[in-house]
Amino acid sequence: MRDQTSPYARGGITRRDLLRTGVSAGLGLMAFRGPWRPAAAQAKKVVKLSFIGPLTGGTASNGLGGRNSFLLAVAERNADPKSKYRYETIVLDDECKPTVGVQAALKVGSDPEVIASVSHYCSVVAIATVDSFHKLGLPSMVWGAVLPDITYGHKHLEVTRVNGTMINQNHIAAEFAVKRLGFKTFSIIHDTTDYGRGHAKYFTEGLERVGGKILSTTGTAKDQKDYTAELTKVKAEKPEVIYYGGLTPDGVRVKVQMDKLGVKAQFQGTSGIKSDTFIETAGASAEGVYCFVEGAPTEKLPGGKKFLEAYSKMNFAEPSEAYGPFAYVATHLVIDAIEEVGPDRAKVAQKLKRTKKQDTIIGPVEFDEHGQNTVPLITTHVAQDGKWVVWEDSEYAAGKRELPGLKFKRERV
Amino acid sequence: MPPLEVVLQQAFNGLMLGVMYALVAVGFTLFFGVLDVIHFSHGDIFMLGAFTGLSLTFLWVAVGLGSPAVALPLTFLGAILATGLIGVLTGRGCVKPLAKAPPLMTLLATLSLGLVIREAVLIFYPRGADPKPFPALLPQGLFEVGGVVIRYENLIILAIGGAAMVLVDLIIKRTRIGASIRAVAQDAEAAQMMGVDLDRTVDFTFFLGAGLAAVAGILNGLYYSEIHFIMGIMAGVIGFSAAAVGGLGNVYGAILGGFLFGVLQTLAAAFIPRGSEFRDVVAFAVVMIFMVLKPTGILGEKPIERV
Amino acid sequence: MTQVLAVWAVELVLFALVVAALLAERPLALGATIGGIAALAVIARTSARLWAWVTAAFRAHRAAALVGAAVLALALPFFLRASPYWTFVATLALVYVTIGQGLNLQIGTTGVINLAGAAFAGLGGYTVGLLTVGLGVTPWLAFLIGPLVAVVVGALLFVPILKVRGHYLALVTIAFGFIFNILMNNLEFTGGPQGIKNIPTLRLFGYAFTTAPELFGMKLPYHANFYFAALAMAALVTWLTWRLYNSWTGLTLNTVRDDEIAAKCSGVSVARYKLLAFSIGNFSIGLGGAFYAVMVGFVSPPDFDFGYSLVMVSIIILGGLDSIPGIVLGASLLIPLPERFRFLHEYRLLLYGAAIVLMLLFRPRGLWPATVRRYGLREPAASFAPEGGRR
Repeated sequence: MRDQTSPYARGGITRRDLLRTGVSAGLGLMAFRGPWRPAAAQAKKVVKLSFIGPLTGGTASNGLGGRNSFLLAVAERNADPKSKYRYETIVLDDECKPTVGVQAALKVGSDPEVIASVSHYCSVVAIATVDSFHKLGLPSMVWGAVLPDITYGHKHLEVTRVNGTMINQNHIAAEFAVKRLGFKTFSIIHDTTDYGRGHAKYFTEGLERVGGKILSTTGTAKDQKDYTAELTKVKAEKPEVIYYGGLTPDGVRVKVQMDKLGVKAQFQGTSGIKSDTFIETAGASAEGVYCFVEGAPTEKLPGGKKFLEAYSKMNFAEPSEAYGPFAYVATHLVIDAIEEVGPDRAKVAQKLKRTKKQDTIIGPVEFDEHGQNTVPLITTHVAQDGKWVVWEDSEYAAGKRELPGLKFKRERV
Repeated sequence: MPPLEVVLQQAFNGLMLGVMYALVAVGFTLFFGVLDVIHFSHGDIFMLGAFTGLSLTFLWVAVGLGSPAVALPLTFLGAILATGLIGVLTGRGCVKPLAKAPPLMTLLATLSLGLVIREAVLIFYPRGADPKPFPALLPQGLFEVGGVVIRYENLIILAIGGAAMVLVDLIIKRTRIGASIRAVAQDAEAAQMMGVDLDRTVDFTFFLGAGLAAVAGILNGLYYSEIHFIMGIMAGVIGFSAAAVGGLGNVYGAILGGFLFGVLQTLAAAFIPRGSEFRDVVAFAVVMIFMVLKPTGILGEKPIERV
Repeated sequence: MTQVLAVWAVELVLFALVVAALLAERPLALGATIGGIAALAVIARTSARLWAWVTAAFRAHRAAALVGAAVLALALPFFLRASPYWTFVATLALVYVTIGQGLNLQIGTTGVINLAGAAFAGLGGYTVGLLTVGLGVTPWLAFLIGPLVAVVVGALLFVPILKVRGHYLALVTIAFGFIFNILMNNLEFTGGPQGIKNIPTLRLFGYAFTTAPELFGMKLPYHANFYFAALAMAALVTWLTWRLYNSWTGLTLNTVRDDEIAAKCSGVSVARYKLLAFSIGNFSIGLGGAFYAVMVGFVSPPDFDFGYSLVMVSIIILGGLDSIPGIVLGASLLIPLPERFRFLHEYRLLLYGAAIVLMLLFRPRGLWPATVRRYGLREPAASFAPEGGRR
């Protein structure tokens, strides 16, 4: 029903139209600025590398840390006069969602200038994109997703992984807890994502091999706020260790609420909690918590200190978190391959499949026939005085301090 | 049958969780009662209140007012004021203009607004993606009674939460502005004819709801000692569910719904095998059954349709 | 005749702008595209007479307009052939059109609020996954069974739909959506958080949909196969929904939405029609989900969470409630546009939310609002037009 007096009938423009045009023009200008390429003359051929990771959502801190490490590695290679090519980056957010990950893979895969991708922190996304990378022939090195199937579940050439699967980590963790520290009874809490479930599964396996006893296994939703119910239930079982399979936000909650409820047990975690955020947010509760991470401790290796220094020099807003070094190494390995065989996807994929390199900041790297880095080295970290310290260097190992779990165990007897 | 102390402890856990949910649910029911809208960004306002409170604690320490006895009430006051104002803005900017539109519009608009608030905190709060520690402003000791651990801070949280709900109830029942709220909730036109300023009443409702959300957020931070930018999502969904189960528009219903949810989830996690994985399923299934049996909630009024 | 040519010319211009908007990367091309869009917007607004003339031409030559649109839709993959990514996004938009028509039938036409759209799509998708991977059923059969499962499981909500209204019904559907998501995530037989992978693709007379087709001498990405299939599916569903809408059933559904009591008094069985609309809607939604499963070959719980239900509802509201062409427009805008703005990285979601709020504040009836039905009348009946004197 037309209003006779409406401005449209009169043929004029209303303020709303101006607003709309203005907004679209503004957005348009932003689009304009986006993919602008500097007009500076480039002597070297340009090779594009893409990074895919969760830049938004609950796992954003890991994704951003990985992204920053990727950018750092590329910047280092671009600053190196010996590099044959100039590397440009495309950074995409997979939002930790499979569909978005597939779209991202399609996007970079269909750009012929992109030669390789450093991809994924979330396992469910990494599994979803295996096919896409294969079909598009784009080599993709996984830097953070830990589910074994990502490399072992298929025979494609393109997908490789530089970080370890959770199998190794958990078998060693079980051995350490039972044989080295002498704990006997465990209650497992894990989040219901593939990450948490996988960890729980392999830790259970590891415990059964070394004779540890599992009192209960409890699954909780990721980002659950209140763990008092689960922890009260577990408290009644009187375990010596509470093992948590999951990431930092939930790990913090479990530990803090454990202490509030007076649960007298040792808290053990996976690489998911080995972050500065865990210690910052858990505060005093973090003291004496230990966890396991693949690869050598960054500070110990010759390249490691340099990585940390270089990282802090770049003034990124976010820390590199546990898997940043893996993204960094993946980027360097990919660039190494490109420098060696040239910017050809098929050749690079072939080269990357059996990567072997002695000196990376995560230790020696050797890929098996599935393109999986068999990282023999698992490092144990313990939280001491507000910092993660390598177990062997800690006062706990030296006997000067006692782990809370061991103290509770002693007092119980 | 688990030992009595475990059952009692779990009951207490459920009570605390229930208070958290109830405080958010009351906000939902207030907005519904007055404006007939489901203000879906309320959960994210709750999160914003928590973050505002956290930022204020830093401020007090910086200006030398860091001692808990002083910082705590100041934090509450400051957060209530700031969040309340933001609530008024959201009401004026987003909810009131859509008051005449179909409810689905308001639902989508407020949900999107919640997204905007969440993303704003993520982007603009330093390292917004990480969970943040909340300072321990309450006495940290505890005492045990028959194996049940009761912390002083839990009791204080219960007290503050209860006081907040009683205060809201008093405001609504005993003050002039409260009477205006009730009048508008009954019949907006008639209220205006009786001289009630509709705009001021709506503004005040948003201030009250958002302020209550701020209190809820700070209490949440104190109870769990940690806040995260996504804490508003589930809080909003469950808060709305609790308010609906209790009967939208009825403050006591919201409180009842909140406690119902808290206790249900805790009991499911505590006593059903694999219950923790399915605690939300249990809660939502109960919601569905409740809605079928009593479509307008426990304490809701049955709408009478006259032909 | 000029009118028909004008209609086709306008469609061509819009098509060119769309393709340019999707593919333009270099500053010059982008600038030109934005300039083109801005110019079009300004022209459309300032010259009301031109706008009226064009709209009248479209209305007078519906068939020609549809033919033109069909030709352009079929031609799209050829223009996007350099980019499997955009072909994929275009196909996804068509899947959302299918889902949107079903959801619109429920919410817009009949007034049955359903905020669990993603759950019903998930039912379709998971059924396909479980049947093909778990039981070895052929993909085509699974593809047809998927939507039926969505309808059958939807029966769980029959009682709430009849007894519960408005906000409370919204809550029940939200609860249902969450329950579905958590169950898919935590039950073993559904693959848990990893979902179901390696879902086999569709095959037509031995031609697997994952082979890259070559048509008219041009090589298209294999996603084009799915694009054409999705186009057929979306067109069929839209056409069927349109026929339903224009039938007595559609009119009855509207009366159920507008005034239940009056409908009951007129002898309409409200219960029957609500459940009918709900089930038909679920079929379309499940169909979309099933298609997604064979297209991507992978289903997992995060693909069907509450966020996606919201996207579906946004499409319906922004397109226009109860407006069938509005759904097509809504899906065509709301799926590709956010993708185009991915360069905004972490600001993307913030602006997306703000954009929706602004849209709702300034255009609450949607981009292509539903119009009053015309039964046999080419122009609005004279007695209804306030601009009197038009015969």
